[in-house]
Amino acid sequence: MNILNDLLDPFIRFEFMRNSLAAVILVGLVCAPIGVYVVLRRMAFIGDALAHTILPGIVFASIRGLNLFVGAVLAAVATALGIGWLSRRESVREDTAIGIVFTGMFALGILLMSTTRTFRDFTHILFGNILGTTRDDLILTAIIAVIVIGSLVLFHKEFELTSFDPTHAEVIGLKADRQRYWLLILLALTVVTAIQAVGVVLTSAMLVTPAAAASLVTNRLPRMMMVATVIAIGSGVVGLYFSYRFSVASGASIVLTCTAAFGAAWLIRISVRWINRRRAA
Amino acid sequence: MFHFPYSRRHYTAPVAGAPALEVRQLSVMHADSDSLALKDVSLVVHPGERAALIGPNGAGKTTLLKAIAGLLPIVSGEILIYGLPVGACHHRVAYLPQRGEIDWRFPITLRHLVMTGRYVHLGWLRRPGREDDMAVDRALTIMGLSDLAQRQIGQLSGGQQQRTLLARALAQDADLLLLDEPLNAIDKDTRAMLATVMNDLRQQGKTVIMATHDLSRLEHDFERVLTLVDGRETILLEGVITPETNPMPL
Repeated sequence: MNILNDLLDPFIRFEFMRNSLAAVILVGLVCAPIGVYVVLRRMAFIGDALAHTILPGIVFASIRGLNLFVGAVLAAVATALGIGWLSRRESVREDTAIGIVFTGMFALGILLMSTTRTFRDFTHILFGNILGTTRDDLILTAIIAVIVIGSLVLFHKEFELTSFDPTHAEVIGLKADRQRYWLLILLALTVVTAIQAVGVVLTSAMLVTPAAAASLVTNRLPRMMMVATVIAIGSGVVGLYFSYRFSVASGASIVLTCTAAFGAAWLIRISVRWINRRRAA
Repeated sequence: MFHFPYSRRHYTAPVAGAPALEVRQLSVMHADSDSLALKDVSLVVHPGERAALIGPNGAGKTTLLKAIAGLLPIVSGEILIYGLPVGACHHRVAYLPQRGEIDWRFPITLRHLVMTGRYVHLGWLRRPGREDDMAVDRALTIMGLSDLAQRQIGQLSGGQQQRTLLARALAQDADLLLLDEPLNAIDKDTRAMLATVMNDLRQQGKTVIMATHDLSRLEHDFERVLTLVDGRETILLEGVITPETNPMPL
């Protein structure tokens, strides 16, 4: 009982810890399932790019005293559409288009930041500050969670089909491109929620690592999404607790817990293979 | 039951008496360059016919099938499927791509892939029901895949993957089937199975167009041979085949 009390104590005592807990759970719920698509469709680079391109949106909103969240969402959606538009018909290859937009937007963000003469205000954007989650942040995150998860559930079969067989999708009149734009917009929304947890620099970890871990232990899509969600939420909670207990950076702590979970999944996979090979021999 | 089809037009009735496929003076661009892949191609295939589409590599066989499937824009000319333009009725056309176009590492089962053949009937938001399950089970049985239904698609052999794609085309219950080199790198059993299935399809009044390199059984398995020659300039030999008229005797 004492251990349990110990574990729960910070959450009972502090409101900011309860808010943070709600935030990491929401972030895990949103990031993991869409992260599975990011991994399967080899979009990891886009996730990373989106996180960086959000910076000018946030900085601009901050300078003008607007809502940071809204600034971030607008910048991310603009990026998603911009990358899609630049790379349509392969006039510029997609990874090249991402490289151009990503670095350009990030540089713009830094430039805007330097005009305010204080970088310190923005460190929590770069590295995340889940402990500073406010009630408003939580509400916005919850709304985004509903939009993203709702879309993924309602249009599961279309996202799935366009991911592994866009040709068949086109033959039956389902536009694979439109589906991709839609996924990019959902991804943009997701990235914005992840940023408040782990920051710009570490956001792609929340998208990619739990999904990659899940892909090592199962080869069924719904199950993969489930496992990824459990890993993401688990890592979020554990990481948050560690950061409180040992007074270390929360974002880094959460991401490292994800990394450890990936390591564990890797070990499980290796052991299962080893056992199977033994059995076969 | 509600139905939101993927494209606005759907379930248009076929034009009575129209050929299954009529291509008039069709020209189509290469996807990645500004040259023509097909130039002034014309052909007719009637309902219930099995047509072989032959020709050397790069002759435009895949391009022609893709244009008919609505995957490539038409530069000039016309394609009519049961008397209607491409895209007027998506459920009526099934396209079996070359195996390379699918991400076989994707985490879904064989049965699930076959089920995607039913999506054109479902449209947005609707999930597969009993009728769809039955159609899929039927297709799996015909192609001898029932035992493999729960396998992840990447764990199948080349022949099994080809059979899976054919099962999907069957599950779709289309009237015009476009098969792009289904005989490439498959085993003898699958080959025999394909011949049987094509015969059954013909008896059901379905139309099949199959791109192939295998000229050994043309007069046996097909009523019509379409020959595409030399990339752009295209000569089409058409007609009911007998051993005498076989355009490419071995």
